[in-house]
Amino acid sequence: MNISNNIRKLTQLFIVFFIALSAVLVYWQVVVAQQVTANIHNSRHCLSDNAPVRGRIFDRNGVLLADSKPSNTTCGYQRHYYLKNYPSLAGLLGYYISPLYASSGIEYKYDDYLSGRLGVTALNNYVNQTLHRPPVGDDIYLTIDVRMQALLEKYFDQAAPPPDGINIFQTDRGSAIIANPHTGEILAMLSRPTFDPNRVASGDLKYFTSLEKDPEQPLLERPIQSTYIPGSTYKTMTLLAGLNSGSSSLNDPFYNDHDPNHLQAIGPVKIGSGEETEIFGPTGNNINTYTRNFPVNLRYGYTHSDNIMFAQVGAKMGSATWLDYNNRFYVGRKIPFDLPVKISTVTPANSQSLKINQLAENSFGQGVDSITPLQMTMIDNAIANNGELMRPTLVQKIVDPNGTTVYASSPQSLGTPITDTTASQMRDAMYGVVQCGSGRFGLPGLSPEMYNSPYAIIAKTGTGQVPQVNGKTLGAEGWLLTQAPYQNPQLTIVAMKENVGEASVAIGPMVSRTYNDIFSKIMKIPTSPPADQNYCFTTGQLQA
Amino acid sequence: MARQTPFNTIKRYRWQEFGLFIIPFMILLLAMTQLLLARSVRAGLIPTSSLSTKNLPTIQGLIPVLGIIIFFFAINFLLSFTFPRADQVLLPLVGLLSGIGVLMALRIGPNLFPPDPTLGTRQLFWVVLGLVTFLVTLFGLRRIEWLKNTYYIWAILGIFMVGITLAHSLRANLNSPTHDQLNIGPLNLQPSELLKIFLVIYFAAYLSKNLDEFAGDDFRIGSIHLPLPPAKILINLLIMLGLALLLFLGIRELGLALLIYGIFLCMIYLGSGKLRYVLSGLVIFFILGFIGYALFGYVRARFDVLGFDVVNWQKWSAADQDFAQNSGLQIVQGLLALSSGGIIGAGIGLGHPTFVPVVQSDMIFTALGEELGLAGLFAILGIYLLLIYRGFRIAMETTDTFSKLLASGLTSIFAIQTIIIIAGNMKILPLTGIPLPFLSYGGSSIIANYIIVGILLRISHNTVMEREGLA
Repeated sequence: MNISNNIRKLTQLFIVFFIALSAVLVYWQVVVAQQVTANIHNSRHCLSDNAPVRGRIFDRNGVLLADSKPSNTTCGYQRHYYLKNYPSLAGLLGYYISPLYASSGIEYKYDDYLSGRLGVTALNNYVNQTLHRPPVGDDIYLTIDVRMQALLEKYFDQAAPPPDGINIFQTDRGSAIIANPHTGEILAMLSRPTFDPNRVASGDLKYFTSLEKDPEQPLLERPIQSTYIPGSTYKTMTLLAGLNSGSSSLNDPFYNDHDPNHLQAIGPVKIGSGEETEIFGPTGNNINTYTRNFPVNLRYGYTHSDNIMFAQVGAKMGSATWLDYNNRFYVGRKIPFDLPVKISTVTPANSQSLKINQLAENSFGQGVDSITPLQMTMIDNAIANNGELMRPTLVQKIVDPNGTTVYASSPQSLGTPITDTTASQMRDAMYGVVQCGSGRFGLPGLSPEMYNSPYAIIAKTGTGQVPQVNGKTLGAEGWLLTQAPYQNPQLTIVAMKENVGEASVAIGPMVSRTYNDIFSKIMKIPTSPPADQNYCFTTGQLQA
Repeated sequence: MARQTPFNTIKRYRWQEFGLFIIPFMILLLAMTQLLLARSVRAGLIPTSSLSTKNLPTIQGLIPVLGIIIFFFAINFLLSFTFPRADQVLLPLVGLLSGIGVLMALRIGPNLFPPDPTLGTRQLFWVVLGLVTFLVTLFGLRRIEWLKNTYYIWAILGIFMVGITLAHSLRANLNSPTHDQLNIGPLNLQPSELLKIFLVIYFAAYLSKNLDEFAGDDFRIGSIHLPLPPAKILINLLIMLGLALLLFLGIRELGLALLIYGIFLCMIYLGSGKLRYVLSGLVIFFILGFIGYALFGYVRARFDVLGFDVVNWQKWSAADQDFAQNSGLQIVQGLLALSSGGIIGAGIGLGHPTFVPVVQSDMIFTALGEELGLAGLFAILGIYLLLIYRGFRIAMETTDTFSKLLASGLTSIFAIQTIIIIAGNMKILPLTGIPLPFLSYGGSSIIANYIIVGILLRISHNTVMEREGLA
């Protein structure tokens, strides 16, 4: 009996067991370690010496908007937002409480960078993880210029004329976007009403619940998450499609003679046949009270925003052409952007086509048009940028803790939906709106601020009629699609207020004052030459 | 024995042991310094960025570790005169493990819920008491044969201990994790710790007396040979099996049952060299275990945790979430701690091992894993392997059959305990209350382990004496 031999074999068995244990140890501590430690039941995330130091958020000029400070009340660190003069940025930035709660906005979309999971090299990540250094997140620089944001903020309330309950209604809900049409950069994005992200970040659950229940939906980032009836601003889309496809020109004559071979300026006009028949006009016409000489041209109809003329322009080109141009501007498609955007639609739910009468209604911005403010900015930008559509951007660059830029956005073209000529003709038409039409003549007694601006603002107004709610008439959605200066557009501003009524009087002053301050104080560009005194009469946009 | 001249003493001094103490003790001193620095950083007394010599802790903080060092050097000195040729590697290994054990108790104590600031001091006290027990064993056990001749006493004592444990546990709450403890005065004695030693003594004696039986034929019924030991040994097998099942089903102490049955299988193999006996024993154990699993809910509960998917926690159902926060809390948090450690660990004093319930005893391995990482645990596994290797070497060098079986059996205890509890911590086996030798907090365990080291050193000493014809 050789016991020593047995001992030797037993030793070997134990060595095998220990090697097996070591292998399992490698499994837990190396192979699945990252996945296991991510568990929500792991309280280590919430200790300031363990939690990642979240990256900061800056505006394009390095103004601090958000950072994290050690805290005992929330998860390791608490997020702080510095939005005193521009609280309407809250929805865009979003809120961040801790890894255990949902976040929103930039905080949500760029969480991988801000929390340091992305953007650092794999080696850095590995070294940090191995040495148990809490990762430091990347800083994000937005394309937002807080000076412009602050101006929007200031004039959004200040410039509103007193509501009269007929043409102007009280509202504190709205959106505004300032963009650089040549690069696609978003320079300011206002959403009202807003909320206090600091209270949310401090874990004030009661406050958060009240925000969620608020019927005014302060958590909604309206410029990208809300769609509205665009009203007359959408005649711009119809005109773009007509001019670019060749089915219409600005000089097309519209008569008042009931001749079925002629396009009609006043109506009634019968569009469609059979079940799709719809009569447009003569009521609801914008030009019948002051137009004496016929025919008038299409340009006259755009300047004075005539629905009946545009119903015929749309019907003439057909729904295929009209929908094709919508599609070129990403209507009905996902807009490539740095935050998720609600898709704008111009067709009824569950349908990809339009009946002829629906097309006619859609062509002047009613019907089933449902458009986000950002979508409107895209259309505005392409017109200002000679027909080339630039990808809208919100994130300018991402910088790692060592100061190395890990991502830098560069202007990116999304194609040329319209020609240079069409864009130029459109700008002429928009110039006419401010000089001779709905952009100038709003309410008697109010000074036309857009018309008076020294920076040659061009625009299209829109009052999207909304259906009655519980038998109560609501004010129309007021829209302004603007750019300036006319000769060489530097900026575009799309602004809208929910249920505000007449756009040019309710929003015009806010937009004009914002342009004036930006051009004179921030961008310091020279004023534009004043318009020819007789411009409106020589071009036939006003009748003597 | 040669005359003790000063020259002889220097020549025969346990220099190898002395040298082997140096690196472990430097490790302990550095680790203790790190712990004190980490505490200051955590308390916000010094910023992480400005570590300078000014921030080094005062000497008072190092007293526990210095105490251990002094004790071990004193034993080194003492043994140089009395047991100069006994194994010189065992004590440095045990010293390092005990030191890490004290260090971890010092580190964990203040952070427990509720805080237990004297945990480290108490562990230090147990180590000192263990060393005293070690010396008593070493000096007292002059003739190993004495253990062999009195083996029935140990058997009776063992049965008695199982008996009082049973009686005690029937009165106690079976769901309490410490229900196998006996509260005798201030000592929370765990009878199982001594039981394992008594069992090994009994088996070593019994097997060495009946070695010839193993040489005989296998057990047979009529003319059918079964892969079982001869009848006389088979009865023993059944008694042990019964004992293990009694412990498991009676007092729900799965760890102890596994340990005892593991020791038994090791001893059977060491005595017979016949693998088929071990395999038969395992098959029977598994069959009975499976029946137990099918019949008893609490057996299933212990094994259910093995199938719990900790990795893909995103897919947890509501029931899984509930499990992870209640009955599976300890094992899930243990694995989180282990995974948090990564390759090099958070560093002593810089992790959060106390998120794991009862981390100081059952789950000390996960605490070490979080703060020392994979590298540290590999080192600790290595120390255990060296300890096992050294114990087996002592067994192989001795010529006496009883001493051989005793030394190898006692060493197997270390190996089996280590494997059971580590496997339990890593969710390979059900989690049990078996202590990790020298590292887990607990007096009985430390004292029992030092008794084993004492017996091993005595066997080593006797072997050398015998070989040199000096006994």
